[in-house]
Amino acid sequence: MIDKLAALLGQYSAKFKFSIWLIMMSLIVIIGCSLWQGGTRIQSDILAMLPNVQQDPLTDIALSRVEEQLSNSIYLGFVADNQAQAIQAAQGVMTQLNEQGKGIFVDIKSADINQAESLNNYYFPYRFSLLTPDQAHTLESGKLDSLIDQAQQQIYNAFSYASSGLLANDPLLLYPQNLQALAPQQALEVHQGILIARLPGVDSRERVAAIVMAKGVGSAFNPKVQDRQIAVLTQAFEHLARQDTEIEILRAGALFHAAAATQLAKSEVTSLGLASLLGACLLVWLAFRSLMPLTIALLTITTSMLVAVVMTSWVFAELHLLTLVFGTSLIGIAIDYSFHFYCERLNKPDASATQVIQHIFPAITLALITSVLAYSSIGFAPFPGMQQVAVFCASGLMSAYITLVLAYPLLASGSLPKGEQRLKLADRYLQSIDSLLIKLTPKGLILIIILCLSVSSFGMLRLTSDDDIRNLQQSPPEVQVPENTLRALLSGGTDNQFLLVRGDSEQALLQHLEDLAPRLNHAVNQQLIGNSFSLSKYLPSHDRQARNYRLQGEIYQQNLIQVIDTLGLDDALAPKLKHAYLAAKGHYIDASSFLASPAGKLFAPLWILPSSGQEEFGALVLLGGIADIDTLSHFFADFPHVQLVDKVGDISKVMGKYRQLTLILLAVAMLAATLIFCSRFSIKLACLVVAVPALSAIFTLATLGIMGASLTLFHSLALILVFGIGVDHSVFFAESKQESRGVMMAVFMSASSTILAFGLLAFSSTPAIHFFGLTLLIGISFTFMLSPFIQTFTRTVK
Amino acid sequence: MINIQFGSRGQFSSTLLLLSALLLTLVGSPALANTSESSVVSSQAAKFEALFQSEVNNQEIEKLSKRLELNQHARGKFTQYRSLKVLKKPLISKGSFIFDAQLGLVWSQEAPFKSTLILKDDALIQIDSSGKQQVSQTRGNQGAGALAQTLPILLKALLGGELQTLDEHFSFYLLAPDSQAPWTLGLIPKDPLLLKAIPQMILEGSSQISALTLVSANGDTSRIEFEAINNGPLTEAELELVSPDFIQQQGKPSQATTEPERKPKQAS
Repeated sequence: MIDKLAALLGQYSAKFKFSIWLIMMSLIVIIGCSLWQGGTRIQSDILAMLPNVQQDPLTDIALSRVEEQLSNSIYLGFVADNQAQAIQAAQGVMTQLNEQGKGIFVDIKSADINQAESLNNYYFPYRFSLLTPDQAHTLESGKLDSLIDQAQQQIYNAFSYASSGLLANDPLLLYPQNLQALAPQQALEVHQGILIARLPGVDSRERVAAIVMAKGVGSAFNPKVQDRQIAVLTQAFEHLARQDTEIEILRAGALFHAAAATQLAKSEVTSLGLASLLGACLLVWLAFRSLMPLTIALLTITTSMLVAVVMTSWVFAELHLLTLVFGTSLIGIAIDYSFHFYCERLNKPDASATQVIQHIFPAITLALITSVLAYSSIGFAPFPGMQQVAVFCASGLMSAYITLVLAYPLLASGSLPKGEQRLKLADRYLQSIDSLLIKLTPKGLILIIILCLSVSSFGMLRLTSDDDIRNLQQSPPEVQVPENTLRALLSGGTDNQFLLVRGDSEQALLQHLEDLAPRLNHAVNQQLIGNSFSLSKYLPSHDRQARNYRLQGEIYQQNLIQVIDTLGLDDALAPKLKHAYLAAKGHYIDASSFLASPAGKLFAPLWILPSSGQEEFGALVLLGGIADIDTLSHFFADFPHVQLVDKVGDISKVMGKYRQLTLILLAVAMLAATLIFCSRFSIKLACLVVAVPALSAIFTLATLGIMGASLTLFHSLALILVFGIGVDHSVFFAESKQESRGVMMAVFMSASSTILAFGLLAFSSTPAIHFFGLTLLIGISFTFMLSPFIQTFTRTVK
Repeated sequence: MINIQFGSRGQFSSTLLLLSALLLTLVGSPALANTSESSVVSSQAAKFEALFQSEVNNQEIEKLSKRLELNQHARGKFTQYRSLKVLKKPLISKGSFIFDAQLGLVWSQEAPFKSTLILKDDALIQIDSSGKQQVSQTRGNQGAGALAQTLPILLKALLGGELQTLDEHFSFYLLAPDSQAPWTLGLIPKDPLLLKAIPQMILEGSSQISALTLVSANGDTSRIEFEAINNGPLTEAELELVSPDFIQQQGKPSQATTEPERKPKQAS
């Protein structure tokens, strides 16, 4: 069938084919331009690379709430030797950010005095329904006197909060402690509206850090947003540096990690891409000593990159930065077709370009099919990022193929300088392999097989796996260290695991939260977690509020005169207080009014209302300083309405699942390829053709094991590519029948260019890319070594 | 981003930690309309009006501190007059204090009931009439204790001539007719929260501090008069009160409590 197709193609004139190619490329350019104008953006969010984990709607909402909170906030610490200096720096930067950062940063604040005031404004009217556990206990056990006593002491203290205003409304001064309970204490001070933390300096001299927080507008992972935010910050910091050169600035927040990642990816795209391109050009020049093949190769690379970018943006409406990094390796593969073409021409100097194409057509068609097959299996991975890589590489490869078939007959028809010498070199290499095999006695063969078997099983046995996604993303120390310092200062850290509590109604949910509170305390005491944050204390259930109201009747209904007399308060207060108490009956704190108030809007992300698609109420309980996630999940297992959400863990599990699935897919792809090849080759040869990449994959795994690497999804994805490229090599040898020196040269060049491209990826500092590159580097080396044996087989068998 | 950020929680709690400081601001809260009519500033406060016209800088204060016979140690008696508008009559209490620049301050009220305040380094210990004790960190405690701590810190700074501490917290206003006559020093807190709670503080004295007056916006005033200040070395018994060992015996400072419901640390 392939032969028929080749013959069909041969019927058309070179010019006709070229014009078809031109039309196709123009179409791509037009699509590209319209996409560009439509605002296709480059995405650098690492999250976009991560797999989609299937969750129920409530968990999904909760996760997106947490991610939003985590990804948009930035924290700055201004460290100075004295407090005044630090405060001045913080105030200066806040002013700068407010002026220059309009629409870029919002909620720029340090200590938020207004927030505190609005909490007071919200809770004060509900004071008759509020009691601390201690107060409630005292009232329940009828010890009103001790409460009066405590109030008395407060009133005598000139520096207490007992003022006329408060006493007139709350004679026993019960409210302040309730409000205080809403304010967790932490090791931060507030001076002049600025949060102050202390950290040890050198020579046991204490240093002072003034802390400023802000929220970025838009995703920190969007490079445009990122640039804007970083620019505003840089400007503010420069301004500060002009005034005070001694200030040290600590930064924390997703923005800085994302910016570092973008920077790294950008520089890697440039450096790795350029190196890969130069290497490929050098190879072409060395092999063919002519400008023509170089130009043609560059054209092939350019058009395939263009097609890849346009197609990917078209399918996904955005282009991931990591796709581009992975994609630079496309250069190494796309050029393979050029190599085969030119090597074949070198081998048959008398044939025309069209004849050469007709000759290699079956091989490159088979190669394309298997490569696209391999890429499609990568596309099965649940990573939007990897799907992009698949589409990117597959479309780029197809473009290279189309260019060869349609444009080469016209463009590449110029004559080539003779390359007999290099072909002879390739031939000599092949012959030495042949003679090596002939010399090999059956005993030796068995010995080699045993050796390979034992070494590879040793390596395979050593192979471990690591699916923890946290190991895939490591920020440079200059980002991580200040972040850790600042994080330690703020102490109230949040992990991205949290508890999700659900209920059929608001009151049911509040009840569940109240039930959970003692267990959370217990967890802190047992050092399972460092801290927790629940809405429970802000939103007592109606039951609890009703009880508190009833208990306060003891003060306002039964004993008001005694209270007023003992404290020496004005008698005129009694009727007013009684009236206020009665008027407050049935007025309860509820979630909707609290979260809509200025006091509660900060907490609104922690509360989830039923919506279309899900009928439950949900509340997030944030956790910090988790010691061991497994112990913790058991710790809350007996609460049916409480669920520990651990996205990192879930994603890691999915990664592991797909790591295994990818290896299975690899086996399936090999089987499919064998079947495809059976239609063209003998079963024996077909098996042999597949055996080359299969053995390469096994040897690669063994090598990784011996190197002590832990297998990740990225290793196994790379193995699929090893298969794709390895099959190319062996197919070319299988197709070449007797005349394999042109193929040997092409395979050599292809392997070198691929190794060049992927070997460079192994030098990436992004772990995922590094794993990918390293696996390919090893894998391709093995296919290069193994594929010539096919030619030996075809020669000896036929 | 896979790196785990501290996030929302840190933000929530840091805004919250101010909450309690605003307890002091209740005076101005809308729920308390009946007290707002008290724009009639007490006569005492009116007396100080002239004082707060004359802001002075650090150097003036330094001069003043030179006039004060500052010493490493001090002890004396105090009488406190507290007039709150909602009380039928002013509350008068008496007691004594011991001060050591290195060790700290002990402030003990003796009548009408006993209560003690001990400030040592960063810890503040309050002991009430029934002997109940509450220990808090002056640093990191933004709770209601924040104001309670202002007194000892202020006194310690004044008695020890720690101008930098004072300068960090207050703007100064000084009326000192000549270098011999009694002087009046006005202090206005720099911290906005403290400012709301105690808009004005007035210190009076000559070679020793003689009185401290606190004026709130609603007309409540507190006046502490000092007498019999003695700068002799502390006795064994006095030293024992302010010594670090004493405090350590009394229990460790309360930890930051972040959990929803936790009893204030108490020991009896």
